[in-house]
Formats: sequence, structure tokens, C-alpha cells
Amino acid sequence: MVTALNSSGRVHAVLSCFCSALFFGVALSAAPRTDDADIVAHDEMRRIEMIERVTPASVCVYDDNKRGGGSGALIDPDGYGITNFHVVAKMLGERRGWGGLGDGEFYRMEVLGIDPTGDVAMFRLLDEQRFPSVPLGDSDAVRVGDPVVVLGDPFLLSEDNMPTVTTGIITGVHRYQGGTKGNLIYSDCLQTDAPINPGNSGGPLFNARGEVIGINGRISVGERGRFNVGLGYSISSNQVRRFVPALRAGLLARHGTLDATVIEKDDGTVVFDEIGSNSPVRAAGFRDGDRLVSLNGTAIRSANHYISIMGTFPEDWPLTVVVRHASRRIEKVIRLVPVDPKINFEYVADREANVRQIKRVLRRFDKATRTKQRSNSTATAYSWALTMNGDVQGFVERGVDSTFRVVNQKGEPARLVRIEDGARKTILTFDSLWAERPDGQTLLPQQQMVFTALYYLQSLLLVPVDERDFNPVEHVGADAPISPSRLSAPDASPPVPWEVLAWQTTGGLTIKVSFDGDSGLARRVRAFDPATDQHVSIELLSHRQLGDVVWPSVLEVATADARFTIEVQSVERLP
Amino acid sequence: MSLPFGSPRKPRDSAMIFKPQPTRFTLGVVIVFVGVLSHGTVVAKDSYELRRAQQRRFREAASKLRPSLVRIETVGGVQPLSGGTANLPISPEEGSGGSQRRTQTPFRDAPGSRFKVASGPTTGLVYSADGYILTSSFNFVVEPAIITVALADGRRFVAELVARDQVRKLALLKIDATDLPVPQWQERTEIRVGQWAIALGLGFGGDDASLTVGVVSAYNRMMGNAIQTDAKLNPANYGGPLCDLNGRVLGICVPMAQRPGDLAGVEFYDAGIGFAVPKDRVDAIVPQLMKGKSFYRGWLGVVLDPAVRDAAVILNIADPSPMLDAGIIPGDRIIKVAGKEIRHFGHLVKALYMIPAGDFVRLELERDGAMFVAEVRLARNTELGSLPDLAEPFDPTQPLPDTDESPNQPDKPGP
Amino acid sequence: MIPRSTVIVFGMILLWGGGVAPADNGFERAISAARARSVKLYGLKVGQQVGYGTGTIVSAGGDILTVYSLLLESNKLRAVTSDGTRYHAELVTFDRRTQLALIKMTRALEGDSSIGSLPFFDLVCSGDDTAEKSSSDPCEPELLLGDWVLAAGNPFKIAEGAEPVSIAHGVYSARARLDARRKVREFPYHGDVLVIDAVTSNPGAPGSPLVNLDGKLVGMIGRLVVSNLTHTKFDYAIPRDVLRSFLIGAKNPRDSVVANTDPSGPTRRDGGFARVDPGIRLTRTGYMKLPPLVERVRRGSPAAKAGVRPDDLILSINGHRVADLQSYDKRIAQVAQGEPIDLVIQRKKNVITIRIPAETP
Repeated sequence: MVTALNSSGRVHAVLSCFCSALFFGVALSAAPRTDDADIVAHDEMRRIEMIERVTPASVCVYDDNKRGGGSGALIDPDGYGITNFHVVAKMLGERRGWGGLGDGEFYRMEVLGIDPTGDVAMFRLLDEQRFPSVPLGDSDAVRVGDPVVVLGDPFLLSEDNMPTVTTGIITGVHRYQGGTKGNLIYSDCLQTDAPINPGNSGGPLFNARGEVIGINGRISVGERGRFNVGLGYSISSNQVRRFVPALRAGLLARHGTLDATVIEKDDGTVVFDEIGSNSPVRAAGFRDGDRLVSLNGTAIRSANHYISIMGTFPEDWPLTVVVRHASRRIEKVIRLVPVDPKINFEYVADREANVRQIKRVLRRFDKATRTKQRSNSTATAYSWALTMNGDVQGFVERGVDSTFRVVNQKGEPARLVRIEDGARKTILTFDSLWAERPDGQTLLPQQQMVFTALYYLQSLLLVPVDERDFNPVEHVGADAPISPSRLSAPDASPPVPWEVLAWQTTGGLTIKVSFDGDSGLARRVRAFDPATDQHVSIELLSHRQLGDVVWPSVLEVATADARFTIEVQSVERLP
Repeated sequence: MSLPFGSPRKPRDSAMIFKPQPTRFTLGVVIVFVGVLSHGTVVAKDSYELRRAQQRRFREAASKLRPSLVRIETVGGVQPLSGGTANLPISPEEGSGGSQRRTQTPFRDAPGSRFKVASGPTTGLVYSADGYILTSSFNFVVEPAIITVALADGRRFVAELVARDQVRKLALLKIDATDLPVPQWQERTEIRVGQWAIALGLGFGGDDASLTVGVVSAYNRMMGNAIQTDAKLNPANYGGPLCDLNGRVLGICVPMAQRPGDLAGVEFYDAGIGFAVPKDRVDAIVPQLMKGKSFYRGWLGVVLDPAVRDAAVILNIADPSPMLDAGIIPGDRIIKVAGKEIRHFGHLVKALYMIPAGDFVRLELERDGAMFVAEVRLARNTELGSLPDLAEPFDPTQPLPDTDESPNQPDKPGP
Repeated sequence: MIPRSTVIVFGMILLWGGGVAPADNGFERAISAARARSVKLYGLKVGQQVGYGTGTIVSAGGDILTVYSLLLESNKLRAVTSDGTRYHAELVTFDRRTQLALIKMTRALEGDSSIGSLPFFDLVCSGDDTAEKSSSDPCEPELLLGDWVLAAGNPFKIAEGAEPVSIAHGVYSARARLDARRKVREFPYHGDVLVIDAVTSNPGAPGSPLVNLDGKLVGMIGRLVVSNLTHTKFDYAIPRDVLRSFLIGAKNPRDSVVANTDPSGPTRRDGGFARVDPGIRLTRTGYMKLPPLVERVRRGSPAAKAGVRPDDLILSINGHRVADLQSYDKRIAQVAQGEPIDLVIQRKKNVITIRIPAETP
């Protein structure tokens, strides 16, 4: 019995007793039950209930004449769903079909974007209702032996659009199944022995929690013909997730490549073999013979492993590449260049679908950045106070004449006098910075690009979505939510990709803004000048409410040879 | 040592505070340690224990139902005729299930499954204590001369084939026995998709029932005549029961496909596609079977014009036949059968495949622009007459123009 | 200073965290045991038979059990272990009746060429089984009908190099006598097999180890056959006891053979353990009840030298009447190396006797 304790001793005693009780209680509750029937029936019921929960989101996919083809799954209450490209390949003319749900109804279906290389496509059921949907899970967390459930319509046996359910386990992970004529490549796919047959294509593979971890699309077949022989393959959900933004936006989604091959040396290391002349690997300064250590934090074990992983990313995806070059370990973020899908038909992107996604992104952005409706928001003059290197150096003003200038606190123009390369960032000391200098010299292209990018960002913040002209805008797909300053941090769980809107400026630049799927905020602005091949990337690291708009407050600017931080202290509307 | 409450003490004094009761505290730590360790190992082994428990339950379900299983052995009989060159003993390796040329072989089952039926033992299930045994008609396609049934207790009986249901692939046998152990059935309404489904069979020749484990894949297939499972169904367990974890019968395992034919559906063997006829259908059919009345495939007696795409235009009608009796003439176009739109031969097969001869079916037709309706009673093919000669002879074995709904198109990549 | 109690509390939290293992799916023990002891085989491709397969490691030094197939006849036979190490391997011996084969890994192809201590299934129960001991007799692990079973192998050579082999899972369905054929030829093994409902009858899978939930070897996936009872492809495994008998026989050929003039010992292919082959080819169509009619005699073979001719009908072997192919096979299998074979033959209308002398090395 605790006779007498002072307060801290009492706290410790209470804590210890509490912890003991907690652990003991947990241990007891988790003890194995002696009654078998309970755990078996309990597990069976959990599976039955999971199946009941996900069944309403399972789709029987038919063409325009209600002829069968395959299966699909709804991943969004607005009726967006995923399936295989080869299921909708014959529906690309009118892009119309029918989706049958277990409620007995047929819904008109619109085919959206396609990914022929990876055999994925998206569709949308056209109806005003809120549809049942299922979430995408983490395919990298899947282990061999995990129980899985397949829903689909093998042999079109369903007469009421209720799916056929089969079960099995995961029998292999990170498998590679080569494609047909360069397409339908199942790179890094899941292997299962849950029965999958013709008609299951495009349907979901569920884990025990009812999350979609794969899209079933392929089987090995034997002498019997096209019947299941225990070897089914599903496109991993982590790959699919990266393509969803482009597919929703009605695009022909292209995969990305480093345009470089690798070989294995005798000591087991993997080195670059042939690097294309326009390969971003070359542009990053790497050469054949350099050792490829890892991609996105995953150590590369073999040439096959490299091929397998590389098949899962869309074009323009930023890949964190670690290479040993000249005895140094170098880590860089390299954006992938597109792989042309080898299709033999003309594909016209669906502009309507694209604009729909643009509006969605911008509405979400609007909601995240504005706290008050602005009736008249055509203000075009503003001023940002800039902090560089911790000191307020000046203000960036954008005048009504679209010129930029940096002024010091006294309002006098500041001039760029010195660039210093610090350990991780470049310190810029401004004296003055004109869009066009009075002596006729123009800004350094990169500096101009930085400010053009900021200009586009600012215009997004200032002009509400409903007053926009969508003509010059394009939704171009996905971007990875990584930041160059967190290069080595692996993703804890696969994050929702950012969505990218792009503009072409009259000066010939391409501006891309990446929007965060969760918060809706803009998180990254990139500018690219095809004439000079210059890139500029600005990470919007944090945001702040300034006035009635949420502005980016810390921006990390990276150009080819410089990196600096801009902190926005205040924003003022100029008369 | 008595200390006043509330006096501020530095943390390092706490070591002194716990001195008076070291044993109790140590005991507490030990208990927690043990609790923690057992907690850790229990969490790691949970799924393993579940798997062990599952296999015990599977085995128990099988032994519970074994007394009601019978082994059927036959002597004599011939391989079934099934159109075209199907008499050759084609082995299953030779693509019995692949894409089939679609043809119209009038009033005979199309060569959909060129499967040579084996002569091994097959499986049946006691239906009633007084000797009725349910099994699959698949086990009798060879029309055997002698049928024997061996019960679980070893007794053997000669069995009589009472009747067959060609449509739902069932057969009813009768043996001269009493007090047979009748199994418990599960009502179809209580069956849930995703529950364990175990198929039991005796076709591998041993005394113990073989088991294969899957789940219920769907509960309404084949126009309501079957539930579907992904357990491995094949000739070793056709005619045997599909049961749940408690050994209650969910249905009788049979080969089935969306087309009629004694062997239709065997091509799905071991592929994770299997069918079982559930209690409500069995109860509806067995009383008739008991009276010796068999169900046969129902035919209309028409041949469609293969030259017409996307419309089911009648080319020729058998004489006699149900269609002739209903006043249908060549040139009439079939629009709907039993509410289903018909645009070619495949649709017609699919609309009729589960309707037995003797049942009425509602047709919507069109003649010279005018629609009309006919209620036609399907007939057995033996009741149909021959097709009158046409001006241009019709070759029924010619392949039809490219039709849909065959998922087995060879040029399709992947499933 | 950190008070002791805080350390204790903190320690408990650490213990708790350490004690909670990551969620297991229940099959992981079986899967890792099977995968570690499964090898990918690559050899000769002949006709329709694929040139790849799977084997099961049964000794630390690299003895591998698998099914006999022509791929083993290659002098470039390769075995790849689960870590991707490639080994040169050789066919030691095979048994015509069970169609089992023993191959031996001789050296690694790269790096240190010695064969390290490999994880293996201890079929002969030397007590070295590296898996956790179960309470039952380790020489006959528990396997009851309905038990989960898992196979680890390389159908369609999906896995390459160090990529893990594929898994197939199901339950142990039945124990049955095998009555099967390969294409039109009768399959010679008519003993017991384990029928399973895992789909394992795929090219490349035969030779895969089959384990129970505890990761103990219960059988090995057999050659691809069609069951005569069902006329369907058949998923089965050769039971552990048959594997063990084969392995013991393969490693310890009979004394009567050792006493023979064969100096190369048990590592010689076909040595002692495989059946004699006097060079007679009978007419076979798959129907085992046909009488043993000689179709042809291999040129230069002992039977040819002894005077056996095509169209001879063999009536008895060594005094035993052989009325059909099945009994012929049975009797020929009983002839030991070094024994002469006495045949009674019907040739046209005459009955003659022929002695095929013992084959001299």
C-alpha cells in the first residue's frame, strides 16, 4: 500500500499502475480464444461485410450497345471510376458506354482519359446522384500471403450487374509482365491466385480492409485456353493513383522515362549503360558508368528492378535519384520525359473533361485562399515585402504596366549587386531589379522567369475562378508532392498527387502550377522556357492569411544554379 | 518513512520514495512484463491461429456431411453425341473451353464442349431418408447400363435413375433403403456472398470425401437457378454438395454455362467458376423428378437467317414445331423473347437456355412492319419435325457473322 | 537525473512497442520456409516441354529433388536459389516409376564457388530441420484433409534471378491413387498422391515444395497429367513418404548393385537405382491393357544383340507371365542392374526363348 508519497512520487505511482493496468488489460483481451468457431465465424463475417460494403461501387462495363466488356470500380462519389484501357479501347469513338451497378440500373457512361502504356483508363457515370465509391489503398504495404478479394464480371455471367466475387491471396509482389507492342505493360504489378477470368478486366482487387490495391487485367493462361490457372496480375494502386489526375482530365496519359538504360555489374551494383542525348539524366550531370543507387528512396537491386519501377510513373513526375558520380553521392530530383504510347489511332483529348477538372481545382483553390467574396478584384497592382536571408531587403512591386521592380524600404529602386552561394542557399543582395533595365539590358532569363511565375500565381490569387477565362488553361496531370528540401524523406503512405494546371505565356514560357488535393492550395509553380531550356521551380512552403487572401508566405526558388528563399511579409493593394 | 503531502521535492528523490515497497513494485513490473510479452506474441500469432482454426472447421464440416454422401459407380454406356465431330475423344488440353465458332446446328446442342466423359466414380447426396439421391445429370451423360451407389457405411445398392433435369443439370436416383442420413440445407435467403463454401466429392476414388474450399461468389446466377462459387468444381465433385462452415448444404454442384447442353459448363472446371443449385430450386424440381418426369431443353424449332446482321429474322421453321403451331412464318423477325432483346442467334440461345420444354415463353415479333405477341410452348427436340427444303440450301455448320458477347476473343490482349 | 520509476515506465512503453509484432497474415511462416527451400531450374527445352522448372532443396550441400523431365538432361543445367545465386547442377539419378529425380548442385557460377549451408527440408530426419520443431513427429509432419497447403515454385518462369518464386495456396483435398496420363502415354506412377485444390498444374511448377501451415514439407508438385478418372487436369503432390523413399534409395543404392562391377558409384546417372533398359520399345497408345508387342529394338542394344525383333510378342519375363503393358512395366522394373533377362516370346506362330545377358560396362 502506498503509505505516503510526495506529489511527484504519487504521479509516478499512478502512472505505473495505470500503465500496468493498460498493458495487462490489452494482453488479456488479446489472448487467444479457446472457441475456434468464434474467430473463424468472426473473420468470415468481417469479409462478408466488407464485400457488402464495396459491392455497390463495382461496375459492369458495357459499350454503347450494352455489349459486355469488363469491369470497373467507382472511386469518387461524383461517379468517376477506374478500369483497364483495353476494356474501353473500342469505345473511344463516341467515348460513350454504359455502366451497370448492383442496384440494377444502367447508367450512361462517359470514357475519360486513357493510359495505353499502363493499361488504365477512367470513366464517369453520368447521373446527378452521389455514387458509392471505394478508396485506393497502399499497394506497397501489401505482403505475399495477404488475403484479397476480386470483384468483376468474368464470362459476363452476371445477369443483374451484381459482381462475381472470388478470393485468394497475394502470391507475388513487384512482378513485371511485359506488354503487347509497347503497351499494356504491367510493371511492378501484384500477383494473386484469386480466380481472375476473361471479363474481370478493369475490376478492383481489394485488401482485407476494402481498399482497392490493384486493378485486375491480366492472367497467365495454359493449354486449356483463356481460363484462370491461378496466376492473375493487377496493376498496383500506387501506380494508378499517380495517373488519376490526368485520366480524370480526359488526357492521353503518357508514362515517364529517364531515357537511360542500366546494366548490372558483376558485383551486383547497377550502373547507367546508355543515356539518351536528351535524357534528363544527362542534363543532371550523370554519365554512363555512374552507379544508380536508389529511386525515390528504394535501392535498385537489378536491371529488372529498374525497368519494373520505371514503368509506374507519369511524364514530368519528379523522381529523387541518388547516384554515385565521381566517388560522390549525389541526390537530385529529376523530372521524367514522356514515353510516346504506341497507339495506332488518333486520340483527341476531351476538352470538356479537362475544363471540368480545371474548374474543380480552381474552385477548391478559391475556397482555400479567399475568405471574403470580392466583387471587384481586377486589381493588378500589388506589393510584396520580401525578406531574403532574414532581412527585409525590399519590396517587389508589380505595376499596372506589368513590370516588376524591387524597391528598398525607402522606396528607391534596389539593384542586384551580389550573388553568394551559401551552403544550401544562395544569398541575393538586391540593389535593383527591373523587368527591363533602364540601360536597355534585360533581366537574366531566370530572374524573369521567377517573376513571371510569381505573376501567374498572384493572378490566381486575385482573380476568382468564375471570372476566369479557361481558354488558355490546361489541366496537364499530376505532380508528386515532394519538396526538394525533403529529398531523403520517404513517403510514409502514398500521398494524393497534386494536380497541375498549365499556361502558355505570350512570351513563350510554360507555367505550371501544382495544386494540393487535400488543402486545395497552390504548392509549386514551375516555369519553363523552351527557347533556352531553362527551368525555374518555386516551392510554396507555407501560407498565411494576409488581408482577405491566403498568400504563400515562404517561397523556395530553385533555378539551374541558384536557390534562395523569399518570405512574403505583407501584401498591399496599390491604388 | 512518513513524508508530508505536497512538499516540493526534486525528482531525484523519487528513488528514495519507492524504497519502502520494492518487492511489490518489482512484482508489478514482472506481471506487466509477462503480460506485455504474451500480448506481443499473441498479436503476431493471431492470423496463424485463425488459419489453424479455419482448417479444423473445414474438416469438421466435411465429416459432418460425409454420412450423407454417396459414391456412384456406373457400368456401360456410350459417349454422348454432341454435334459435328464431337465424337472424337478430345482431351481437355485441346481447348475445349476456348472460343467456339458460333454455328446453328438445328435442334442439336452445338459443339460447345468436346469433352470426353470419364468413367471414374461420381458423387451424390442423400435427399430423403427413404432412398432418393440427388446428383448431377453430368454423371449420366453416357446412359449407363448399371448404376450402383455406395453409402458412407459401406453398403452398396443398385440404383435406378428416376429422372433428369437437363436444364439445371440435376438427376434423381432411387435406392431401396430406409433411414438414410438426410443432410441439413441452408435456405438460399440466408446465403451471403463471401461466406466460405466447401465442395465435397468422391470422384477421386477414396473413402473420405475430397474437399475444396472457396467462397460464395454470387447468389443469383443462371436465371436464378444457381449460386456461384470459386471453389474448384470438376467431375470429381459434380453431384456433390456445396456446404457452409457448419456442414449445411448450400447447393448441389453442377456444371453450368449460359447455354444448354449436357456438358456445358465443364470447361470452367478448376477455373474458379462453379455453380450449385440451391434449396429453393431443388425443392421446386424434385417433386416432379420423383414422379419420373424429366426436364428437357426447350426448343422453338426455328433457324435464323445468318445473312441478316443485327436482327433475328427467321429463315426456316421445323414442321411440326411450336413456332409453326403459333402461326409464325419465315420472314418474321423476333424482337424479344421473355423480355430480352434478340438481335442474333446468340441472344436467342441465351434467352432460352434455362427454360425447359413444356414451359411457355412470351415472344414479341414483327411482320411487315406490324408488331405482335405470341405465347409459345417450348418442345423437346425429339418432338420437332424436319426443316422444309429452302430455295437456297442452308448450311447449319457455317460460322455466323462476327457476333458479340464472346469474351474469349483471341485477339483481345489479356482477359 | 532521470528517476528510476520514469525509466521503468518508459521501459514498459518500449517493451510494449517492441512486443507488438507487425500484423501477420498467417501464411508468412509457410511462405518464407517454402521460398527459401525452392530453386528455379533452367535446362534443355525439348519439343513441347518447357526448359525451366522448380526444385526442392533437401540437403545443406545442395541435393535437390524435382520431377524428371528432359530439361534435366542438359549439361548446362542451372539451379538458382532464393537469393539469386546461380549454381551448376547435374542430374544424379531418376526413378522411372515415380518420375522423381535427384539433382545435385556442384558449384556456384559466380564468386565463391563453394556451396554454402543452404536451408533445406530434412526428409530423412537427421534432426537438422532448420524450421521450428512442431510437437508431432518431424519425420511425418501433420497433414489432415482440409489443411491449408502452399506451394512455392516458378510456373511460366515468372520469377527471375533473385525474384521470389510464386506461391499457390489451397487445401489438402484428398489422398488418392494416381491414375493418369500425359498426352496419350500412361503415367507410370500409380501410387498415392495428395490431391490439392491449389492450381499448380502449370508448366514450370512441377518440383515445387508443398508445405503445411507450419512450413513443413508435406509433398512435392508432380508432373503435369490428366486424370483418367475425371479427364481433367489434375492438381496433386507426391507425398513426403514417397519422396523420402526415393531420396534414401537414391543416396544408398542397393548392395547388389554396389557389388556389381560398376565403379562410378551412386553418383552415376541411371546408376543402380534407375531401371534397366535393354533397348526394347513396345507399341504404346495409352491403353494399358494392350499386350506387350515390340515396335522396334534400339540398334546395338543388348536386346538387339540377343535377337529380339519388331513384332515379337513378349509372353513372360524371368518366368513371370506378362499379359499387358502394365505387367510388362512392372516386371521390367524389377530387373536389377547386372541381371540377365529371360524372355519368352511369340514370333509369328512360334514360341521362343531369348536371354538378354547382363549389360557389361
